Amino acid sequence: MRDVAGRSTLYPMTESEMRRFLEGLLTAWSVEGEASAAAIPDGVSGRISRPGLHEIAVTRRCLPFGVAWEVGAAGARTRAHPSSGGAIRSLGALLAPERARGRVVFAAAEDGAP
Amino acid sequence: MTPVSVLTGFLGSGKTTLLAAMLRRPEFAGTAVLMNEFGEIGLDHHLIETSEEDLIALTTGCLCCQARGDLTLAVGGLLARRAAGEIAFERIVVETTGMADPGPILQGLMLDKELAGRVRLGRVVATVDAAIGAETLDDRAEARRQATFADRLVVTKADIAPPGAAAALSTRLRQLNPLAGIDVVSFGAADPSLLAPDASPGAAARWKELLDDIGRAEANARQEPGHHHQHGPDGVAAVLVRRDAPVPAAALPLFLEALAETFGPNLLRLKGLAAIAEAPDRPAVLHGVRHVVHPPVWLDRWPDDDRSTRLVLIGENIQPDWPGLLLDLIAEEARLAAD
Repeated sequence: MRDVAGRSTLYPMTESEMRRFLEGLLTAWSVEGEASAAAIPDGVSGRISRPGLHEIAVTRRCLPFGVAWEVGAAGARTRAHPSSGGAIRSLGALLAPERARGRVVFAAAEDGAP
Repeated sequence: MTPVSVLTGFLGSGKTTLLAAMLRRPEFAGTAVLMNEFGEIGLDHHLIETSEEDLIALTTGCLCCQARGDLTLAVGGLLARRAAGEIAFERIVVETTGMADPGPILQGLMLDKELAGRVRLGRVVATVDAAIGAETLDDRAEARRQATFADRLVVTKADIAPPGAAAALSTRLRQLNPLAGIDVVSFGAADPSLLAPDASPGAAARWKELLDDIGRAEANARQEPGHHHQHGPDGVAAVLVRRDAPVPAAALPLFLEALAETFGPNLLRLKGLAAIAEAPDRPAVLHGVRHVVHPPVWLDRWPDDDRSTRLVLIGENIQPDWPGLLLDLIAEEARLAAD
């Protein structure tokens, strides 16, 4: 989605939203840590600090071709994703690799009603 | 499809009394009951007065701890006996043990390949003792889990509970599971339709029930000023998401996948109605138990003038505004992908 000048008009995630997004993951995975966020050109960056562990850096940029998430930590490869779901997977691998994950399974279709 | 309802509740909460009372009612005719025995003594089995023909006792222990195949085989066996003309029934009720986690049982019923297209999940009814239920909810995670999974909660033994206990317990249960309707009963005298709903209620009736559930959750949330959630023990919260802007169809499975990825087994129930951008006149109905989700069902039209997306999630460790934020992010990403 672009305006007439070709600039991104994507949903501009705010610093507050990035911080809450990361805090929500820490809560979900019962990980002790602190999330912070700051605006950057074309997007927002976030950080997760954990006692005695490497900091994790996250960015979400709105680029002309779409959204680009990047998730990285010292000693680990930085991974890029075009969607929030991919970013969550990478963050989960770094923050809570042993967590119980789910995968959506669709039950057998019924006769048109819930 | 044959509806399979599940009756759960903590030890001594009155499941069997409720079931025994219902079995005497003519409205309950045509119901096959599956129950499982806990330990070596099949106490529940002996308490229920019914025809052996219509009752199968699962003898291999706790339903929730056994392979799901045990239950699904038993259900399949009932269907086979009906097909052979040995027995006749319109619906099945499964009574769990008092210690059971209903989650795996519900998942088994929804996912089993042999049962696909032959049964559908009916109601999940949980009994809670008015006299000591609050204490049990404090002490036992199993009891909290059973109440959380329920579509309907039955507060039992109101006749012997101290004055006000049933009302106080109902308030607490509403906080734990705002989706569920609550019935307060004495001597097991509950409405038989709780566990024996119309076997072929028609789509409209079933949609109405789901919409009623969502409306109840929203009404309960409004009673908590400034909040759209209620916290319970174990960090269980009911989270409401309401959005006026339609969601791109592609965002829906991505959103569900991201929820499953994030919360795993801690996401207990999901019910909702979604406004889809590509089909603005036809809302999609969502219904999930943990990570097992019924394929979205498309309604022919909106039930009323309210055309907003309304989702209710119940789970553990869910920050109240997080699912809505996730939906906003994914919806925008899907819009871009479709551009």
